[in-house]
Amino acid sequence: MARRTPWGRLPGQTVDVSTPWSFADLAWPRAGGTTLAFGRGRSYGDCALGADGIGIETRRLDRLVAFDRTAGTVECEAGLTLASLLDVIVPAGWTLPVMPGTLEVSVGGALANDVHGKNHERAGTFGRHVLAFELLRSDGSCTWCVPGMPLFELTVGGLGLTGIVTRARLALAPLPSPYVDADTQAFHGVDEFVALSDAAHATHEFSVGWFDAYSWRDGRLRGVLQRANYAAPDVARVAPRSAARRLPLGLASPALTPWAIRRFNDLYHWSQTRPGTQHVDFRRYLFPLDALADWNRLYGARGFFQLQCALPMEALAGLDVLLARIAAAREGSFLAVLKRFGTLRSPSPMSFPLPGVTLALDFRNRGVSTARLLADAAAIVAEHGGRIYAAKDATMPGALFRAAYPAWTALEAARDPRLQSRFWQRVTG
Amino acid sequence: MNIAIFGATSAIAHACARRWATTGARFALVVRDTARGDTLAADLTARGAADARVVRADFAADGSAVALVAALERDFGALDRVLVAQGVMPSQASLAADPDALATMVTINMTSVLAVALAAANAMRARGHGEIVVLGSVAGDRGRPSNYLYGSTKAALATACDGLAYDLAGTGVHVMLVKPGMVHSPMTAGLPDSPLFAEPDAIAVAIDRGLARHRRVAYAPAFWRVVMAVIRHAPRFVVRKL
Ligand SMILES: Cc1cc2nc3c(=O)[nH]c(=O)nc-3n(C[C@H](O)[C@H](O)[C@H](O)COP(=O)(O)OP(=O)(O)OC[C@H]3O[C@@H](n4cnc5c(N)ncnc54)[C@H](O)[C@@H]3O)c2cc1C
Ligand SMILES: NC(=O)c1ccc[n+]([C@@H]2O[C@H](COP(=O)([O-])OP(=O)(O)OC[C@H]3O[C@@H](n4cnc5c(N)ncnc54)[C@H](OP(=O)(O)O)[C@@H]3O)[C@@H](O)[C@H]2O)c1
Repeated sequence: MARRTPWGRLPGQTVDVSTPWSFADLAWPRAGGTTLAFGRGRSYGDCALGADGIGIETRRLDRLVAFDRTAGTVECEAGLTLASLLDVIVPAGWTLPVMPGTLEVSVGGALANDVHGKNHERAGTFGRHVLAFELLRSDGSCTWCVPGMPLFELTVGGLGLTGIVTRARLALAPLPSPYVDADTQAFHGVDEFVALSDAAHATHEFSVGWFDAYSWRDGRLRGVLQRANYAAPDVARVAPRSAARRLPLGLASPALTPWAIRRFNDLYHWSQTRPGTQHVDFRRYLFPLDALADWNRLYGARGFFQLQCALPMEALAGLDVLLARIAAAREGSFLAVLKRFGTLRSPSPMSFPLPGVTLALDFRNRGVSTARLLADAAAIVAEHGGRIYAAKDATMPGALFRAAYPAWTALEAARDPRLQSRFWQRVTG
Repeated sequence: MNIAIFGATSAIAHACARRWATTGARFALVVRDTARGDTLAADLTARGAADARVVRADFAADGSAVALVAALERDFGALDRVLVAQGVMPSQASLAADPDALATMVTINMTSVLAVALAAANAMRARGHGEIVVLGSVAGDRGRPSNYLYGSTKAALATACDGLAYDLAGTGVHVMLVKPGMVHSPMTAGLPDSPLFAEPDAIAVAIDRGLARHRRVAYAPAFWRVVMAVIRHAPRFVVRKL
């Protein structure tokens, strides 16, 4: 037994996990008890916390089963991290079609939260590229699920509740080069962000907006859109330029504020004064924070929250209402993220992305004032027909969850009776 | 490169094999559970191994190491590297209470390991090159109340490898004894977690470094060399509490 904490490290949010070395050793709780799969704990809140305080950690279940270098498919155990998977497929000229902001997530975790990346408009969510997976349930059944099967659709984005994914078969994407060509464009409001993102959609694989949340005033803000494409194969071996100019931004976080402010100001300045592209290793560019191990610990003993919400296109005005509330509270991270979500549909009815815009920023846990702010934020999201991402959440009201994810009843019906999370108890109970 | 791994399902051995697979090596995986051996072989093949075949052997039962090595040399190919990883760590109490259990452990941890190492050494000596990696343990460096019976099998490996290295001097064959500290693996799954535990991959890294530097003994991770130097010289009243 070992004790694990999710990424937000909030007080009281721990789980005691067993860490089996093979699926044969996987222990279900006795009748009446529940457990839950625990991947790499990169979810921020309580979605990976077993309701009874115990869990099954998958990190040792990380074997590859098959890698078809010609067809570009891979089959692996669900505890394999995306980082380890890339170590194998990148030298063979393949990449993953969808990658979240960190590679330290397991295949099972990526599937259960149906994660998205900086190319959502072009690739949709992780679940779109899952060809099949094997699902182990407490009744002893072990089923290969393929797209179109109800159990497939409810397990993708199913928060680990339908069973334990043992193996998954994934479609890969060709990797033209391990480098990206990236540039930046300044923006000064949500509308401008959307216009630039939509233009980028036609020309660029990746795009994400960063803005200075402290700069928000009456809908005006200072932001930069980062756009990138995989480089052309022939320039693949060119050495990247010096680190100082590269400036890929990390995730917003108050703990990293001095660092982030410096980076952001450089980048903002750069976007205005030195247009042009930079040539950067794609992993360094897309996952800058993965070089800083355990940066979440910088928040101290009380941990932190991340608010990630999505608002539909017709309700984007809600973003400024939300940002006004956050600015007034003088809480929250210096850096915030904006990302345009496209219209590609996920196989999962529980998937978070909806056509519109997502906003993410961190809040150090200051207790009551932070709780009040997050409650107000949730109310604003609800008013504008938006939703909050379960992978990041520790506080959303059940009513908002149930309204935003009406398929929750189908998931509850398909839930394995021996699997339950604190998150699910909180939002459905 | 032709690599034979004895006790290939070991967590430490698997971590080594994963690193070696990326160079396109060929593997003969000697295991007692062939179903798990097949899973391992698939993992290594997906990671770039040119070949990964599974061979069954139970080191508690048959004393067939010589025949096994000969069969591998014949059917699989001349061995360039041999990793000997099989081992068990029953509780001190169960070993102390049952001489049969003690004998079985000695057979697995010592007799079978040395038989494999000696057979491989003979095959390699004739060719003038080869690497033999034997998994010992820091537990062999000093008898501690909690595990001196297990530790004594590892001490035997240390003495034997030390001697074998003299035997092989000038032949081009390199024998290396690895002394891991505490490592996360099925063997230690029941022990309470501690910050002293290393990942199997850290041991694999240390083994690669030791091979590259032609070490005869490699502590893994390296800090255990210092820790064990202190423990080896610690007074008895200190060791009693470890
Ligand atoms: C720095 C950072 C950046 C991030 N950026 C993004 C981003 O850009 N986009 C995005 O979508 N997300 C992002 N995330 C969130 C992260 O991708 C998700 O929380 C992901 O689910 C974490 O995977 P994990 O392996 O750590 O799983 P955990 O957090 O341990 O678990 C997540 C869920 O998966 C379930 N689960 C895990 N393994 C299995 C299994 N084998 N079978 C069934 N269920 C299983 C768990 O029960 C739980 O419900 C980010 C997180 C961090 C820390
Ligand atoms: N883990 C540590 O802290 C640690 C520290 C120092 C040294 N070591 C040594 O490192 C080596 C590898 O151990 P590990 O940590 O990787 O543990 P492990 O995963 O339990 O490996 C032990 C290996 O020995 C095999 N084995 C045991 N009995 C056998 C038998 N009768 N016949 C054939 N094979 C048998 C096991 O096969 P199965 O998989 O079929 O059981 C397994 O492959 C061992 O020699 C161990 O003593 C370990």
